[in-house]
Amino acid sequence: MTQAVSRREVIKTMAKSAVALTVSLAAIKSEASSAERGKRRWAMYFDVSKCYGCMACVVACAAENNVPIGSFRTWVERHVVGDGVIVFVPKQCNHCDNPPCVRPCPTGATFKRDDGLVLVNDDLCIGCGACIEACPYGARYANPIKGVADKCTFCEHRIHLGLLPACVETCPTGARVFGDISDPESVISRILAKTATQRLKLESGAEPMIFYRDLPEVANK
Amino acid sequence: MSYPEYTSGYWYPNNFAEPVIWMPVVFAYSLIISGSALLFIAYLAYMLGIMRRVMSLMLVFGLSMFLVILLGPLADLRAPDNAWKLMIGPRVLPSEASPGFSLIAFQGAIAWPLVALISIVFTLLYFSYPLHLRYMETGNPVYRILSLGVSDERKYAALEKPLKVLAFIGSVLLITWLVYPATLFMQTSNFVWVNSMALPFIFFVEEILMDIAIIVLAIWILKVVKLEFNSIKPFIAIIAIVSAAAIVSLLIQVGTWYFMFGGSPYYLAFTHLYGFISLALILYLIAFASSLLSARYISLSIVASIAGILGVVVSRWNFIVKAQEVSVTGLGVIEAHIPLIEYALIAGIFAIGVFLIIVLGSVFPVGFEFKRGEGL
Repeated sequence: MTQAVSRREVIKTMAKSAVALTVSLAAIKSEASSAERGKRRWAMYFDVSKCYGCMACVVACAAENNVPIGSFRTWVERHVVGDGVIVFVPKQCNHCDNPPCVRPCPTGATFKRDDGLVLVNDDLCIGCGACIEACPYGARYANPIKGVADKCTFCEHRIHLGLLPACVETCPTGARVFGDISDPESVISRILAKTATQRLKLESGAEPMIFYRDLPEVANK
Repeated sequence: MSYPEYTSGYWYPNNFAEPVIWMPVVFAYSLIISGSALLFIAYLAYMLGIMRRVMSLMLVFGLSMFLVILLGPLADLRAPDNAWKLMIGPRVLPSEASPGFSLIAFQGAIAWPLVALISIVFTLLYFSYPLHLRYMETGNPVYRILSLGVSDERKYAALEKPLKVLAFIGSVLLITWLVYPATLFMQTSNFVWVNSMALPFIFFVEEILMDIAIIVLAIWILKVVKLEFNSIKPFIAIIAIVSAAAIVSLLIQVGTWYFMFGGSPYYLAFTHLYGFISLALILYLIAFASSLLSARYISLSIVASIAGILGVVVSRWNFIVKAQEVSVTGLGVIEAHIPLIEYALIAGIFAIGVFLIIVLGSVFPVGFEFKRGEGL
């Protein structure tokens, strides 16, 4: 017995199949990219002894991310240690493993991504300031242009394309090293494996993901 | 090239550029929260069958203030156009991307609507029969609608059990408001707040003091109950107890700071608050002494109430605004510039609360007392 199928039905079925295939592929791709992202753990390493306070990173960050005047996603502190030696300590968001800024956020606008980046969803942020008050590192600010909380994203838009964060790329002395610490072959992993490092305010329980070499005690407050 | 020279101490630049993130409207917010304590006391009093003569007053004042509570934080938001997203999608359950528990989400999007709903229903039921009587007097159909069909004393008396259930649920939910926003402050990294263990208790006793003082003043102004000492005796006793508790808790807090940080450079951060703490202590002492003397000179209860309210205002300004003038590092203090608009916003929010008190006070028969079998 033959069954008559109209041209209309054939086209309808084909269209449905195409849509289903596209949706499935998109889902698989997104799942794959999420899974791929989840394997990574971005971190940064600062060699304080190499930083001479040129502020190129601060300027590059401001230019790359349109940081408003008076606010800082990254900054460089100048400290005089006991013997009169001047040291420069770069600071920024620590993309903590246990981020204190995420906890008080009432809308989930501030969140921790599976690759460890702590980010802000501008569409959800109500600008309550709870995350700014909660950050023990003073790394967040209220963006007066956007009206939301703002901070370093590790230049998420650049690393997504395989580029380095603007501050790292600009640093003339290589004081900043960025990479994936879950990959034992990455540059940062190899440095961390053989270098004694310090992290800021560990007593806060935030588990910061920025590692310092030669961090003076006076800057760890 | 130049590096910023800070006026004193160690500041992070973002913190230095804008030290006061939660502006004075949040201070006003913390005072308006007193409406929640008024409702709490009203519910407790209803369950225990006491203070029936001022129950209606506490409900009208408490509900009016509670309904405007969220205007404080709303005025403080940098993106108020996104505020509705908090109400439809509060983050109260932790997830992998958003671990932890957000007190703002719980208080704003869960506790506030629930308590507001319970309080509106409770107030309508509580005033139902008196509103029916008003309808009988005036013939105004609005009173008839608001009386919810409770047209006789028997029906009204039958509401006592449901009202007690509502009062119980409401009072449990209101406990979280009594210590808020002190509990929120403990979630931050503000150097003063995280090192002030007594803060929730200080806020709790100050809420009670503020509320009772408002009620005593309202009784004087509105002459709701006969002005004899016996009529306001319980309130005066509470003022004496809570002002003493406020004095003790502030002193304990100061002692704790000294014990923890005395002799270290961090201690300077706390001395920034000592001027206002001293002033608050003096005002609480006046409130305490004059409430004791009210037994002999009843008009001193006005002094006790005003001193109590002023003490809370000074203490709250200190713990909310001045505490933010301390660096996150604990090693710097600054005198922050507060824009004038903030003071206008504070006045505006209070004005809306007072407007609601006037509206609700004219709709509901404030001052009635119901005794079973005796009518109104």
